[in-house]
Order: sequence, then structure tokens, then C-alpha cells
Amino acid sequence: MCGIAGIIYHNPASYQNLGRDLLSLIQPLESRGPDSCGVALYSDTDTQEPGIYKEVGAVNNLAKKYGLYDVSGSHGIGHTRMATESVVDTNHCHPFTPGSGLSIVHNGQISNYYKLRFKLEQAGVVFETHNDSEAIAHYIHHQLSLGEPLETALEKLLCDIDGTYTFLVATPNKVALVRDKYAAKPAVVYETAEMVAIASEYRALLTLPHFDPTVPLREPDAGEINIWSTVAVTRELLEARS
Amino acid sequence: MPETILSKTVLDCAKLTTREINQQLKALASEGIEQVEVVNPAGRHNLAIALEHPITISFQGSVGYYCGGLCDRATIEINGSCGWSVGENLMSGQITVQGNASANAGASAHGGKICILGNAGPRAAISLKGATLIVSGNVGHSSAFMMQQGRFIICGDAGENLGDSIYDGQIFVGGTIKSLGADARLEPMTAQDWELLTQELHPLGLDAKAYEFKKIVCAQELYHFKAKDFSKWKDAY
Repeated sequence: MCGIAGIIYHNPASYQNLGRDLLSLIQPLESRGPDSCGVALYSDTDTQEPGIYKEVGAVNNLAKKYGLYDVSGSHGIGHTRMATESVVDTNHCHPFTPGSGLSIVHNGQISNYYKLRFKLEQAGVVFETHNDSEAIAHYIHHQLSLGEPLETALEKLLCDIDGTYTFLVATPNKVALVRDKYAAKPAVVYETAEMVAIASEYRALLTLPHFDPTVPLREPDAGEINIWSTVAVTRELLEARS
Repeated sequence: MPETILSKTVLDCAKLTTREINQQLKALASEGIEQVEVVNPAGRHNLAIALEHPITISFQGSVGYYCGGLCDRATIEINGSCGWSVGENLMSGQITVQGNASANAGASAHGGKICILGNAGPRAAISLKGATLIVSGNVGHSSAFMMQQGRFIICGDAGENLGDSIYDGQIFVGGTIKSLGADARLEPMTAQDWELLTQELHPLGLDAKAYEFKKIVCAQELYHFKAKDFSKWKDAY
């Protein structure tokens, strides 16, 4: 069991709330993952790489230590970890960042991890940890480096990666939510004109500031891939600035 | 009526731990309190678990996982949606959800009735052991997986692998079926079936005749499995 959460804003006026909103989402998910926590925050500046903050311990400690409540940005993903197959230390915390501004947070277990890792290592990928979730990050990064768009990379992943997984992957301009074909791990999606919020459990959404209980929530189906783009929003923002 | 007000108790989840809520509900039920309103459930897991006396509980808001699990003779109404495994291992009584249910609704429920007045997620009625599960909307994939006894009434559509590895019991689907699982087969509806559906759906304000119900039962081809019949179960979930 782990907790995952994500935020994507449709309205740039909300960018200033990113740290506060994302941490509100993952705080209640601490019960799903008390070992460690982490976030990837994509700022609205020109930089392509997200700010990664992760370590062993409580969400509140991480947030206070790095002043995360005040971080602004267009989107972000977060994780609370309950380790099942590798050690508990900062390197093995989520998010995993294989490069090119990519980050992933994962809830579940990869059952063909060793075969997958072996194949990726043969292709030149260097693994830094023994966490199976790192393989998801490298798999997607590898597909993107071969020239595949994110959509195709994730469709291939559903065939190539066995096990139970609900994960969020973020790029500098997109966030995707993927559930395995058994829908074995939970996710709830809350979408308004202003924002998209994703969390492992409904109760996490209730802590979101300005949560509107009348908005119908959605659970993605088994094998479903959802991708939200921040490009349109970013483009509008750039036009407004120029 | 003052009696009504006196016999109604309100529990506020915001002020209590989950254990305290369940202990208080059990105490109220054993004292013979008839009706309890539970406010601020806030999607919390394991609410109203294993109550052993008749009591009517009304949740004002959505609940988390395993709500009403193991209950015997309680009547539970959820004015909101519910998380995974609502009414898991229910023994008797009734649970009504005025919203949607997530995965595993009515898992292993032995008796009683669970009514979802909305959609249910994957694996609804998984391993159902005798209860009646009614879903007014659609259900997800692998519903009624390894169902053993009881009735599962779906007014809407059913996802892939409905009734996979079913042992016994009856499934009724008012909408479309994406696919049947291994050892599940369609059976013609009888007048008795329609009578049963009318009886079950009428109290929920639903008209059985408004749906084109189909009946699914166990084909019993896996009861005595032989290795040479591999094709009969190779696509099992």
C-alpha cells in the first residue's frame, strides 16, 4: 500500500497554490504510506526539471523543512510510501526521476521487475536503486528517448509491465494517470474548470482547500490511461506575458 | 413527535476515532436504540463494522472502505458514495448506498441485501455467498467472480468477464454484458424470475419491466475438471 496524488491547474491564477494543495492531498495518505514521502513540483518558470523533495519521515516534516507550502507551479505529483520490496531510505523514496523532466509516483508491485530491469539494462539504462517503481520510470523514459509520444509509451507499458500498479507520471507539460488491467490499486479523480486533483482515496480530496463536494468524482477504469496537458494553459500564459 | 426525537441519536465522526465510533454504535445497538444519524463520515474507512443487533444507521456523507462489513441485522443508509468492499461479509440486514460504490461491493456477503443506487466498480459481488446485491447502474469488470450463492441484480451494463468461475447463484443484467467469464452461461428468464425482480426492485422505485433482463448462471463445466478440457478454463481470470 502506498498513497499517490497529483494536481494540474487549468487556470494559471491558481499556480501559487501548488505546494499547499499537493501537500493537503498527500497528508491524509500518510496512513497508506508512513515510511517516507516525496513530491515533484513543476514550477511555471522556464526550467524543464521539476523540484524533487523526498525523504524518510512525515509529510509535514518534509514540507516545513523545505518550505514546500509556498512553492508555486503548474502541476505536481506526490507520494507516501509503505515499502514492500526494497529498503527505506531517501534514494528509494518516490518520485523517481529518470531524466528529461520526467517523474513518476507509483502504488503497487511490478511482478516482472527483474526481467524488465534486465531488458532495460541491456538497452543501456542505469538503475540507481532496487525499487521496482524505478523500472516504470526508466521504461517510460526509454520509450520517450526512442521517439515515442507519451501516449504510445503508456499503451506499450500496459502490455509490457505485469503486476499491480496505479501510477502518475509527470513531464514538464503533462500529467498521466495509468491503472493496470485489474484496477487493483485505487485512484479518484476530481476535475473542475480550475483544476484536476487525483488521489488514492476520496478522503484525501476533502482536505483540498476550496473542494466542491457537488462535483462528481470519477474512478478510472481498469487499463485506462488519462493524460492531462498543461500546454494550452502554458501557451496562454506566455501569450499573456508577451 | 417527541418520542422520535428522543430515540434518535447523532454521532459526529469529526470528534471521534474510528474505534470509538464503532464502539458507540455497538453500545447504542445493544441498548436498543433504534436510529442513529452519523455526521461527518468524511470518507473514513471501517465504519459500522460487525454490529450484532438491529439498529438503523444513517450516514450523512460518503464513507470509505468496508462500510457495514460483517453486520448482522443492522439497517444502514449511506447518503453519499462508498469506497471499496461495502458490506463485505454482510450476515443479514440491509445497506443502501445513495450514490456510487467503488470496487468489491458486497464481497463475500453471506446474507442480507445491499442496494447501490448508482454504479459499482470492478469485482462487485466477488465471492458472493448468499446475499442479494442490487446495482441500479453499471458494474465493472470481473463482477461476480467466484460467486457462490445469492442474487446479483444489475439494472445497467456489466463489464468484462461477468461471473468468471461462478459456482452457483443467479445474476440478472438489465443492460449489455461486455463479456461472460469462464463457466458462466445465459439462461432463459422465467416468469418466476420476473416476479422476483419486480419484488426486489419495486421498493427501490425501479420497474423491472423497464429493463431487458438476462439471466446468467453457472454452466457447471468446471465442476469436474479434466486436464484435457484445458480450453474450458484457459481464459479464466
